[in-house]
Amino acid sequence: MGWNVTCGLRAGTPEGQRAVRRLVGAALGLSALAAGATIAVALLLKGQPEWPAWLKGAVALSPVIPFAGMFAALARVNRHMDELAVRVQFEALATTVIVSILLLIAWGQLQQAELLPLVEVSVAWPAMVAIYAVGYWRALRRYC
Amino acid sequence: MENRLKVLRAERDWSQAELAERLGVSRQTVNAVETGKYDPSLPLAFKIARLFGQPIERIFDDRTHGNGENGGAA
Repeated sequence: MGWNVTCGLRAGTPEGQRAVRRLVGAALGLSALAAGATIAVALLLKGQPEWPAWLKGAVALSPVIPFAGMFAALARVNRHMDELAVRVQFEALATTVIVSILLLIAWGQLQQAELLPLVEVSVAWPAMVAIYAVGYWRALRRYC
Repeated sequence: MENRLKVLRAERDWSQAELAERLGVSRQTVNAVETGKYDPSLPLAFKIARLFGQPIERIFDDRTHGNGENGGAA
C-alpha cells in the first residue's frame, strides 16, 4: 500500500510524538478494560436478580468510567497531533457519526416494519469502531 | 491548490523530514502539501512563507484548481 497507516496519529515534534504514543497506549488500555468490564458486568448481573435496583444500576454503569477515560485520553491526543493528523481523525470521526446515524435510522425503520429483529444496544459500539476504521482508511487514501 | 514547496525545498537541498522539522509538522504533512493532496492551514502557510522568505501568494496558487477541492485544514 502506498500510504502510511500512522499518518493520522502524527505529531509535529518528537516530544509530541511521545505524548501521542503514551496517550494512545492509555486509550487502548482503557478500551480493553472497558470491554472486559462490560462483559464482566453482563455476567455478574445475570447471576444476581435479587440485588436492589440502586446496586444493579451502579454495577451496570461501572464500565462507563473506563469508557469516559478512554475518550478523555483520545481528546488529549488531539492536542499533540499535527494538522494533517487532526484532519484525518476529523474525517474518520465524521464518517463514523454520519454512517452510524444512517444505519441506526435504517435499522430502526426496518425493525418497525418487522423485517429485522431487535438487537442489543451493546452491538452498536463495535460496529462504530468498524465504521471508524473504514473512515480512517478512506482519509488515509485521500491525504497520506 | 498548487504550490512551489517542492521546488523551494529542492533549492535549499532539504529533505521532507528536514523541512517538516523546521515547520514543526510531520513529514507526512509536508508530503501531502507538496503533492497537493492537502491545503495547509493559514498559520502553517504563513510559517512556510516566513521560512522561505517569500509572500504566501508566490508559494501557493489558488487559481490552478478552482479554490482548492480539499478545503484546507480542520
